[in-house]
Amino acid sequence: MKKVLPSFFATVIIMLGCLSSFSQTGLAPDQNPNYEASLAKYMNMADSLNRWHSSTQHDMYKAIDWLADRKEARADRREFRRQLRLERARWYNSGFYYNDYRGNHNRYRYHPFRGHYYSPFNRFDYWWR
Amino acid sequence: MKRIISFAFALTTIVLFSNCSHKVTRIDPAEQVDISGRWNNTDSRLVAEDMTKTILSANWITDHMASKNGQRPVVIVGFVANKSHEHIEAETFVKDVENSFVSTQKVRLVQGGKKREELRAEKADQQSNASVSSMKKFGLEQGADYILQGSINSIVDSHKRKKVVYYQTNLELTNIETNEVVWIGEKKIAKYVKN
Repeated sequence: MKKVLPSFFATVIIMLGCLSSFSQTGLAPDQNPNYEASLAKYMNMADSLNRWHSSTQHDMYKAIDWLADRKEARADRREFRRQLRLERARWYNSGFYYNDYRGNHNRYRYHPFRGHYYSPFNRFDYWWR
Repeated sequence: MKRIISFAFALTTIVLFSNCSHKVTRIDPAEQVDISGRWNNTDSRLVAEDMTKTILSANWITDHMASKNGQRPVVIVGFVANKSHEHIEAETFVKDVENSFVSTQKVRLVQGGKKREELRAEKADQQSNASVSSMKKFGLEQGADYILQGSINSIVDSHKRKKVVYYQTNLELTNIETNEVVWIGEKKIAKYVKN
């Protein structure tokens, strides 16, 4: 009996020590003591991550689809032609084309006094200078 | 002259009828109507029916109740990642699953995301505007035990005008404390489209 008592008391003391250490640090049984590092990391991110709960995150890809690709290419060609038409109209209105009532379709105008052609777009080549 | 008049009348009739050809009719949402071959309401309904049936009959509910003294599990809905080639809104079938949780009362559901933020904002507003007796307190929200997440994937195999589209929709339920996946729902849909 005398031999058993010291070991019993030692066990009880160790168990009490363990319990007191758990109660001091607030750890659950088997909880990682380094949990606070992760807690600090995710506390800052929680709001921005949880905002999108109950929603769909779209991360789509473009499938290889012959018919869809053909439609897309056609739409691209149409858009290109439309842009080309708009660009041409812009140039016509700016006087780049057909700028001469005499039917002179090049971009240079004839200088009546100097006897040569000049560009109306070149500000250093006006006839009155 | 008569011929011209009759021809004009026929032409006018055709023009009038062609203008009136636009027609809208209400159909049963459960009716299967496939037009383009893309993801549609029938696919969403099939996924919802399958997921609802399996999630409520799986063992995770009874396991949770056995380990938590009969308490019902609390679930929050997280992200559903659409990794397919089409725009698919997962809310159409996730809402059906949520509806089944609430209507069967087997699972408790808590609000998340922007709606939760709105709730907290309303609670914050009450702190200064509502009467003291009706004011709702902060810090009394129900914490979720599980989070429902999911993904939608697709495979497209096409040649000229023929196409096979395969959709795989997964929903997963994970224990928030332990990260243990307690349930996975899966619905596979394959379509053969000939244009």
